[in-house]
Amino acid sequence: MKGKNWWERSLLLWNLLFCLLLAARISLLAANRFPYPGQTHKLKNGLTIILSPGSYFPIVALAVGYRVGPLYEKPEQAGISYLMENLMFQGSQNVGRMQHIRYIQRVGGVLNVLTSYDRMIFYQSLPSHHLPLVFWLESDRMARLSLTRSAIQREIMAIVDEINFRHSRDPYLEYEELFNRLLFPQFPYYLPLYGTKNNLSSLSPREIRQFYTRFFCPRNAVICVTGNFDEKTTLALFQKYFSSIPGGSPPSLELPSLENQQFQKVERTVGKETIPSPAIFLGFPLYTLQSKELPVLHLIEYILLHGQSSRLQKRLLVKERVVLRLSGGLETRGQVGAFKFFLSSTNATALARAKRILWQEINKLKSEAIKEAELTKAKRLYEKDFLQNFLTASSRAVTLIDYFFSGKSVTAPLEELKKIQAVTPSDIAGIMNRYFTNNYILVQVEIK
Amino acid sequence: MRAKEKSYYSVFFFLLTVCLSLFLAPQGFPQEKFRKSPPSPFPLPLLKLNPVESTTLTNGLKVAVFSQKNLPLTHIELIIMAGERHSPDSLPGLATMTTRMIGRQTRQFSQEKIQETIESLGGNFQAQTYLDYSRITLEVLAEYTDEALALLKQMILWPSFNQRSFDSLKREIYYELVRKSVNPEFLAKRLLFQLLFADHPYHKIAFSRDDIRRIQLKDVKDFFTQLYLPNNSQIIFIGDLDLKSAAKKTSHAFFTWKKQKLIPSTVPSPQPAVKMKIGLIDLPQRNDVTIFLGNLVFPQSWAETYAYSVLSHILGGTPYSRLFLRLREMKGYSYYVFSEMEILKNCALFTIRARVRPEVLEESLQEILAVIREIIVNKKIANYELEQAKSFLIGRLPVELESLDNLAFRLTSMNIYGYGNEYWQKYYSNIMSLTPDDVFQVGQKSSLLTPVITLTGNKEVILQNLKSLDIDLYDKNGKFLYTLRKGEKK
Repeated sequence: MKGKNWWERSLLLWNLLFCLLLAARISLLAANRFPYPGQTHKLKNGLTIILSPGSYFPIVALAVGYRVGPLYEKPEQAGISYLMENLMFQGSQNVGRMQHIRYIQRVGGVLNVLTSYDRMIFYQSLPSHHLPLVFWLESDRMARLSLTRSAIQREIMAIVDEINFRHSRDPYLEYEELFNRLLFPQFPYYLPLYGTKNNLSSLSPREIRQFYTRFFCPRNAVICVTGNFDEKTTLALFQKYFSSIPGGSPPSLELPSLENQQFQKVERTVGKETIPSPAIFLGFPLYTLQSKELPVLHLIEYILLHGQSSRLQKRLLVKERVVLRLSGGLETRGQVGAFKFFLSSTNATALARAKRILWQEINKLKSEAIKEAELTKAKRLYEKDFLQNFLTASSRAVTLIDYFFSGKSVTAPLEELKKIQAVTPSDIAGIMNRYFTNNYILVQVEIK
Repeated sequence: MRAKEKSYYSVFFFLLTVCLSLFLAPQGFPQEKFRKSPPSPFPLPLLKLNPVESTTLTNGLKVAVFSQKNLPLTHIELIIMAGERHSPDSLPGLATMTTRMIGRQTRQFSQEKIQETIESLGGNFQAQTYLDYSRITLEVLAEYTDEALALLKQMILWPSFNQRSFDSLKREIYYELVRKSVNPEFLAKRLLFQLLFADHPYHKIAFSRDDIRRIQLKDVKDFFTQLYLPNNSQIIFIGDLDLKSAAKKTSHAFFTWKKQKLIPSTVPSPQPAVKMKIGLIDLPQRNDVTIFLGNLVFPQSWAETYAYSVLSHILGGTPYSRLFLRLREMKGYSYYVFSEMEILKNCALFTIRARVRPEVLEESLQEILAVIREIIVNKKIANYELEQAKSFLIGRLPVELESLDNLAFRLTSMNIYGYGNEYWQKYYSNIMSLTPDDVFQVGQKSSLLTPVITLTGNKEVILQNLKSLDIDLYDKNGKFLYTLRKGEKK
């Protein structure tokens, strides 16, 4: 009897162990399948690490995200984030000016930076055997950026030139800036991503160094490695290159609340002789935006604007052919946002017609429930774009950092897709009626 | 007592060292030694890619698969051997018009319905024509692969070439060319093709607005009937599927596509330019000059193709290549200068493109030719340059292949130009085995010092700055106007 109990118990234990191993194996397999979820780690100095191994090709991507951008700027420092973005390529203690780019390109890699209102993500994709190189480069500019007076002066001049060039190339840019000021009346929400030249020349090297020390430090950063790499070796590289950098004490984001902002409809007509064609900017403020509303707003983007069979593209560009350019969509700046439209037409009559159609389509989506087939189409297009974000190692690294900053799950990114799948026609109508109201900003640009 | 004093001294010196190093370290903390120089790479991993598997269906349609497990999308490329070189001599642009008619309308579906169907599969669609072939691409969510093939079948088997769609497309292409007629790079490259391939079918890629005007709907229908055949096509899949399943799906969709007799088409081997020639298109509003300089090269083996790739990379592959450093960084002549190599049937096209200040046009051309001469006549490339080029070419391949579109393009070229599966397997070793002699030899065999040069920019300013050479003038449609002899004004 005793022997049988022992045998049964041991069989039970073995079964349990087998089940545990099987579950571990299944979860391991799931982790190594598309979209390759991330696992987070943290160094003692506060640096957050996301590892997402998995790639068909022998490549790796490393992205470094910092919580910084125009929303973190003070009025007297407006434009400093964009200046810092440029300075991050001007060399550090052991890496010469522009050499970061050269080192990456020399081994066949590619690199770029993605900036938004409250985050800046530097990323590079390169053959996997060169992973230590990118650790060396990124740690050097996080630890000891060269912020010499001459480099600062040179970059300020380059930015002023660039802003002037942007304005000379895009005749609508000054009106877009006005549109943003009307839509987001409070500082710093209306600041452009590409910086502003007004305050740049008055910034002292000391202020810039302080800004760098406060924001470009481990505690304010997230680094994501994706692709074909060994986790243990990579964690050792983090330890070697990043653990000795002081964590820093980044400030928290303190933004004015727009929740009680008195908002009234504004219609403004502007223009000049050199405008190539008349245009309108139309925007609906989203001051009380909640995160659960974002999936619905994303789908509204697809229904109205994305894809050749979206309502506005179909009517304005294909059927009626009354617009030359059509763009827009959801734009978030911290906890607030706006839904924007931009249309330009060959002449004022065509633009007036285009404007009528735009309002018709907005009102139709408010008053008539969208059909399931159309909603499904929008969801599938969204799904494709969502999957594309995880397809290459560098886009996955950037997306996972973006998810981390936005409070989305990096360990289960497919959860975001599920939120989209759950949107119903009544959700669409609800959001349309809540936000697409008579409280809008319209800037009409005419040839004068 | 002495021992105590000694220990005070050592504590004092230790604290002094710590304070000094903290003070001297730029960001307030000491720097480790390993940060001073770049680390060594890990050992080069093998490029283990699945072989491209293929089979041919009974109707002659070739099916090829590049299988990638867990890929949530399926990329489908239908390749038809109906490139611009296949357009009749009297109708350049016909291949492009025909390809772009695909997907406009079918017997069952309007263009709007087609577009909606593609997007409801979470997909996108493209139709493009190149010199040797045309390419119809559908990329959809993996679970809708069958639906995508059913739609592709509609487009290919039952297209509705109606006059309204045709007129609308003709307008679209015409206005695209109007828009491009102010693009200096487009005009210079088109003229380069026109001059380099003057006696070869490839010249038809340089079609103009007048050529488009001449094409009729009947021409499109005839071209389609003659060349859009299963035995003149191949379908390439990238996705989570194997050859068996891809062949079954393709066979199910295309079994009614009937094989027909093909009119044999051979590509004559083009001839390289043996004498330098300059063509100019006047763009009076430009205050810079765009240069395209190129010639044909004829690699006889993969080793030679790779040697040309290295040559191109060292000349002008990146902002750190010889041409860029010389013309932009050292002399300040150019805004940019790059070189490229494009593999074609029986040859490859080697080009250098640059945008320069007009007042230094002649010096820029001389400098470009001098840099070419240095590398192919005067002195073999240095070992370090060769190693850097190898590192770049080996590293860039997997980075490029990660994009589905790039991968598909590479697979198409492999199939069309017969690279074979060993292309992947031997890529690294073929590159690694190159020597400075290999690069020097292909350079010496080439005719890069007698190139065709095309320029776009303000004619008056260009003529003032380019007095030592004869120049042929062309209009924006590529029509020859007249020749200006050295220094002559008109």
